[in-house]
Amino acid sequence: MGRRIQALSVVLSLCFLLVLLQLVNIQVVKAKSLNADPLNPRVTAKIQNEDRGDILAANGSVLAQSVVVKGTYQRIYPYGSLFAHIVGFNSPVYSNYGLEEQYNTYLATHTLAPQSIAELLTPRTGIDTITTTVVPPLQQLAAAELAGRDGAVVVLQPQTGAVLAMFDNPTFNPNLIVSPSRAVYTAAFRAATCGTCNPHGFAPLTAMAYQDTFAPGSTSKVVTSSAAYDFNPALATKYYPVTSTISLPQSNKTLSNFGFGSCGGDIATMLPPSCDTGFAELGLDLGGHDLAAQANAFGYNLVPPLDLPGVVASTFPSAASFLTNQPGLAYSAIGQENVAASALQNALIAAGIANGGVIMQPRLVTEIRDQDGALVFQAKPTAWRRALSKTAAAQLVPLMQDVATYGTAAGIFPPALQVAAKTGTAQAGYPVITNTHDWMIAFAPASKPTVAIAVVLPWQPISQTGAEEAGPVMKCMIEGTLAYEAGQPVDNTSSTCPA
Amino acid sequence: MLLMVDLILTTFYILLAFNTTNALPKTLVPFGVCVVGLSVALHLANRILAPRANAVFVPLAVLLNGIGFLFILRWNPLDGKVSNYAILQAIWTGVSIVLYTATLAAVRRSRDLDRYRFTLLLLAIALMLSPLIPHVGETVNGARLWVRVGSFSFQPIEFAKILLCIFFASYFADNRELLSIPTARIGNRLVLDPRPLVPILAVWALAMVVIAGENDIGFALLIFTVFLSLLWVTTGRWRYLVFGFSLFVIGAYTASKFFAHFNSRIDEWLHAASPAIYHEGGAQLVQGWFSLAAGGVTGTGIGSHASLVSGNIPEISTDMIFASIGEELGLLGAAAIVVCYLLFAGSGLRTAQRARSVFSRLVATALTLMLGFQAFFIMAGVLRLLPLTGVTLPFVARGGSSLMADYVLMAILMRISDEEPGVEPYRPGEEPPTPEVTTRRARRRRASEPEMLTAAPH
Repeated sequence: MGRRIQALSVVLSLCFLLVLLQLVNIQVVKAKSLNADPLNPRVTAKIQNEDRGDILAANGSVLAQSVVVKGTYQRIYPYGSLFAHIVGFNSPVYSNYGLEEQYNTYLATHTLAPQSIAELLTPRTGIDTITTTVVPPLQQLAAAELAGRDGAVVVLQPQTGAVLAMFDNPTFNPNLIVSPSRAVYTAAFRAATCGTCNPHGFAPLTAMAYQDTFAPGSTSKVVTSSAAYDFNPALATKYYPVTSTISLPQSNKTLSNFGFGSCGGDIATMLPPSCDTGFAELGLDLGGHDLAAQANAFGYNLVPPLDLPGVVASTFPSAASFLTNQPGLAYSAIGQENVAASALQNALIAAGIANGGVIMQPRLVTEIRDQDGALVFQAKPTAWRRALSKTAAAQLVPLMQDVATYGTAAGIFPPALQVAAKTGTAQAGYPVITNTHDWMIAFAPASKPTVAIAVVLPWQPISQTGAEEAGPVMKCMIEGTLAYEAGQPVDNTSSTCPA
Repeated sequence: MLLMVDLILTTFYILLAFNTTNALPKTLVPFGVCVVGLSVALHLANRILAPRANAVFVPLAVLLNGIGFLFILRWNPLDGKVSNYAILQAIWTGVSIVLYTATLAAVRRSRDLDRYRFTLLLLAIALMLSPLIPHVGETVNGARLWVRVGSFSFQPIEFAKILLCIFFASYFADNRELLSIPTARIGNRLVLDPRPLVPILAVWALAMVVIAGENDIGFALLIFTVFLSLLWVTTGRWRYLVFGFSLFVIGAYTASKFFAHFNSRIDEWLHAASPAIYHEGGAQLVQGWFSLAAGGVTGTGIGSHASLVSGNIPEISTDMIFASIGEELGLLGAAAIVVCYLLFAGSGLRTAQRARSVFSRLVATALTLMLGFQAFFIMAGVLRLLPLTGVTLPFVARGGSSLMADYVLMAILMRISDEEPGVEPYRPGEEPPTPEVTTRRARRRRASEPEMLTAAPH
């Protein structure tokens, strides 16, 4: 028995020896690769001891800044949650997000190119300051207009691609994520990544404006219309009979107008009242190839080149898929079924039409300067895509103005602003339609547009429409932006818009 | 030796405070007084109740307990006031030392325990199954191991494991011959009487109930390992080991087919870093490795700012505390912890070798193996040598029941150690001491002679 006890002590010793060997394996042999592993939060932890460049708004106000607190640098975001999805955060624990990630190499302490032999030996380090295109008063206006509702607003300058404002709900406070208190940042990050905390599963960390896509509904009819102008002009003047319901090929499905109303005519007569049956037939006449080609020309199935990480592509079914799915083609022509667009993508569509058919590359950063004030980088407006021909755009703009004067968006905008718009009320819920995604895209003034905007309010009650829900938000954003561009305060233009 | 340990702990305490608040801790004097006070209490208890016992156990336990406390405190930093967890752990330490003294005082002779064999067994089974009682049992992290009475909750299995050790030892000590010598006859061959195998199957069934009902593979494996080792120590029959482990493997495999919790633990162990599993719970293990790697050989220092990220690891002050120690005290500190357990187990088995009766010898072996394998399982779990199980790191991890149980376990070891022959004069009326032959030559001589009780062919 004694010998067996001794044998057991040998077994136990071998077990502990195994533990020691594994400790050596992890802490010495594998340490180097583990320390550099991208999953390792320590890779970003060292930033905490270094200064970091500022991020500024277009008007020079500070969006992100590093200040010294008790000997270490603390990142602060003076606007809190307002710019969370643009500026992001720089956390030693959760890594970087937003512009903080996109421009990390400029913002973080980096080695400067040597100016002298002495500097070759002891290189200087520096941090850069980033100036963005966003306008805090417009961003505040967008937040006030959404008034806490889940939704997104994207405001672009059509000629330059500059993002003047981009706000969405739900959002989060980056100051809590970068808090030095573990209890605070743990709770904040948990809340920010909680998908079940929102009735529709929107996690605050996800930027709805450029990371969530929804069926664009009737706003997509501008894509369908432009496809007709560019690929098959004969269809642009084709007369579609007045009806409330059509039957779809390859199936026993039918497609009806909103509230079983009757409508028909050519594009010019069908776009203002947003005739579903007519546009569905137009889509079928165009064919899958042309419709898909036009959607792709507008940037569907591509990641918009906005200078932020994690921007998602909007989706439009492929031409091939329509061969066996003609009902899908009819639905896609009115922005339903498998068509899904982000608010950013829909704003780019509006901007493309506003800018004579060319979509400019959307961008957030105008310039980067080093700590001595020297220019390191300056953004130049560049074209991203030719979405539609100049003539097609010229034909489409008056129709979108009609939408705002006597169509589905009638009565929302003061006529003097010359707003061109398109509403969208996409059916949501499967298999039973329970809600609508309420959209509006618009630009103004129609003669020489200087602002293009998309507003989406997903999962609204089925009784609501894009005009009723997104319309008032759009009106205030258009008024505010035009006022800002005219050098006036954004908030003293209309009594119905919040201060 | 104890005072040296106290000095080490107080130094670590000062370092922890310096690293987290850049100042001497406000509570330095109370802390020092508590540490020294508790040590003195332990020392006095030993002097009075077990003066001849091995002097290694208690300092090792205090060192491990103290380091554990500091790391619990470390993850509830000293910003002004000490957090609930650290206060609770301090209270549990005090209670544990009282329980330790009480056990030493109550169990004046180890063979007293032998008398209550079946009472202890019933108590153990009741304790093990109590978490399954509705309304009283509680599920924490997927394992139903907790019993809540009012606002007070504890893990009964921690105490059950000690009682089971005593029962095993007592049962085996009585049934040695029956278990090891073939007595039943099949045809013209002598085989082992199958009846004593019934308890083996019973324990296997118990382990499976623990796996199935309470979702805890760790304790089931631990109890089963100790049980089989003890059976082997008693009988010297390898077949028991083979038979027992096959039973366990079959049972565990079946369980893995039916219980998601059990299965996911295995997945996390094998593929912790694969994206799907990383976000489902593998992160805990992967981040544990990162912590260890960051510590390197010398560690980042206790309370270091650099290791703050480890605070995001789930269960950092319980299941994963070894990773935290490995990070802040480095390979050297982690190895020191391992060596502490090695010394503790070594002393435990040495006590077993010298114990004066078969029963106390088996008790000491069982308790030592229990503590040793428990430490091994959880350390190996953190290091991904084995799947991570929820057993506690003895004396170190946060938790009152396990700390109390560990101290009680140590008290019984101390009692057996105190009775070692050659130290204690032989008293008439007691069974004569059975001195263990320790020299190599003597052992060889004994091995060549047929042993009286273990004469079965090996």
